[in-house]
Amino acid sequence: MTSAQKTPDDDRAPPWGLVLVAAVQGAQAFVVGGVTLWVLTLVAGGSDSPGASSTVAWVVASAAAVVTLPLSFRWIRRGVDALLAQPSGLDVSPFASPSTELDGPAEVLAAMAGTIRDALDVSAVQIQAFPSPIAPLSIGPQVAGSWAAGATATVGPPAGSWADVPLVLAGHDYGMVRVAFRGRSARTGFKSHLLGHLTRQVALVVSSAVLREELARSRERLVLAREEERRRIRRDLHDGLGPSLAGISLQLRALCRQLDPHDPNLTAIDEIHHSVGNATAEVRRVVEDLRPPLLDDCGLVEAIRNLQLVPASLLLTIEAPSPPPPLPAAVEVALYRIAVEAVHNTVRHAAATRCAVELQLDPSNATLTVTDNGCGPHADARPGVGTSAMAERASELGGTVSIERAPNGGTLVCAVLPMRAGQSA
Amino acid sequence: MRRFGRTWLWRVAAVLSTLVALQGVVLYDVPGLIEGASASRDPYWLVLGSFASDVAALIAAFGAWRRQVWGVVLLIVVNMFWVVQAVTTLFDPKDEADVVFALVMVVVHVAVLLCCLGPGRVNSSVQDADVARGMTR
Repeated sequence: MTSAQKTPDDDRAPPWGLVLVAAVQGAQAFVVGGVTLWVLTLVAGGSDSPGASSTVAWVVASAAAVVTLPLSFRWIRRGVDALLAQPSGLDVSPFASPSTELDGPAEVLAAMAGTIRDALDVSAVQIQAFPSPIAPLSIGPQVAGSWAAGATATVGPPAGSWADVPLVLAGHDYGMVRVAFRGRSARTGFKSHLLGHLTRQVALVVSSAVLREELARSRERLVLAREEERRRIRRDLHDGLGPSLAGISLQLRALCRQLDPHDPNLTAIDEIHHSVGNATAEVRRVVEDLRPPLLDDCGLVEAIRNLQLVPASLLLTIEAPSPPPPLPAAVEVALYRIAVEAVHNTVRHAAATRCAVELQLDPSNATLTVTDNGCGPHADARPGVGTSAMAERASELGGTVSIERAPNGGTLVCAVLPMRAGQSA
Repeated sequence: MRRFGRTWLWRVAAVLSTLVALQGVVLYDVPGLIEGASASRDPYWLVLGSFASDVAALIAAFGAWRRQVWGVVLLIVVNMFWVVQAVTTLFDPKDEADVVFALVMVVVHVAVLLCCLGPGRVNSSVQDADVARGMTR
C-alpha cells in the first residue's frame, strides 16, 4: 500500500501502545493527585481539625486526578500514536508515484533523497542523475532541467564519510546515490542492506523518467520527420509528376487534333487522355491530403485568415508576427489544425460574434491562442473528438493545449508547442 | 522554513534526562555504592534501583538523541518512575532543600514527558526537499 492510500489506522500505534498510554495516564494521575494533596496538606497545616481537612484533601486530590485523565487522554494517545507509528510516517510517495511530469528532475531527486535520509537516519544524501546514458536516441538538444541533461540533489548537511552506490539498471549507468553516514559506527549492516534496496528503487524511478523523456523526444522527431517528408513528397508530386502528367495530356490533345477524325486510333488516344486526366486529379487529391495546400500557397497566417467556414456574422481577427518566420513543417501543420479546430468549435458551439487568433513565436515556443466572446466552455463538458485531436497534435510535439474560460466569459484555447522539435531534426 | 520538529524535542528530553541521571549518579548512587550495603544510610536496594534507573536513563537518552523510538519509549518509562519517586519525596522530606529539589524534579520530569510525547511530526522528505532546494540552488 502506498502512502497515498494510507488509512487512519496506519497512524495508530500498535495495541501494546495502549499499555504505554495507560502507564502515562497512571503517572499523570499520581502526579496530579500527589501534588494537589501535598499543596492542600500544606495549606491546611494550621487547621484546627486535621482529620477532617485530611479527608477533604484526599477527596479533592482524587477528584483532581480523575478529572484530568480524560482531558489529557487524547493528547497522550496522539503522542504515543505518532511515536510508535513513526515508520509508517515515512513519506514513500517519491518512490510510489514520482511526479516526473509535474516536477523537474531536481525536485524528484530531492524528494527521494529526503526519504532515504529519513529511512537511514544519515547526515546527508545526494542523488546524481547522469546525462542520459542512452546515447543513440539523444541526438536532439539537451534542454536544461530535463533528465537527459542530468541533475543533482542534496538533502542534509554533508558531513562524515560518503558511501557511493551506483544506479545501474539493465547495464546502463543512470547515476549515483551518495550517503553521508554520521561516523563509522552509524553504518550498520542493516542500513547498508536498506540502502541497497532503496537505491534499486531510485534507479527504477530515474530510468523510467529518462526513458519516458526519450520516448517523448523520439515521438517528436518522428512526427517532425513525417511532416517534413510529407512536405517533400508533396513538392515532388506537385512540381514533378503533376507537370509531367499535364504535359502528357497536352501532347495527347495536340495529337488528337493532328489525326484524322475517322482515324481508328483516335478512340484509344482519347481513352489514354481521359486516364491521364484521372491520374492528374488523383495526384492533386494526394497532394492536398498530404498537407493543407493553403499552408504552402499562402502561409500559416493567411491560411487561417482564409478559412471558408467562418460565417459573416463572426468577426475573425488574426494577430501574428509579420512576416512570420519559417516554421518546422510539423509545428506549422499542428498550429494550423489546432487553429482550424478551435475556430470550428467557436462557430459551432460558442454563439460568438468575435474570434481573435493570436500567434506568438519565440525561440523556444510557438504559442497560439484563440479567444471568443461566446458562451464559454460548459462546466460539465466532456472532451470530444476535435478537442482530443488538438491535444494529441500538441502532445506529439511535446506541447500542451488548454481550454478554459476567457476573462470576458468566452472560451480561451491556448496551444503551446516547443520549437525544439524543429531543431532536433 | 524548517519547523522546530519533534526530533529536537526528543533531544531536549535526552539532554534533561542525561543531566538528571548524571546528577543522581554523582550525588547519590556512587556515594551509596561506595559505602556498601552495610554502611549505607538508605536501603541498599534503593541505591541499586536508583543506579539502574540512572543507567537506563543514560542509555535511553542516547537512543532518543539518535532519534530512535526505543530510546524515547525508555525515556518515558524511566521518567514516569522518577516523577512518581519525586512526588513521593514531597510527603517525606528530610529538609526544606529536599522539598525544593523534589519540586524541581517533578517539573523537569513532566517537561521530559511532554517533550517525548509532544506535538509535531517526524520531518518528512517533502520538508527536507524544501530545505534541499534552498541548499543546492
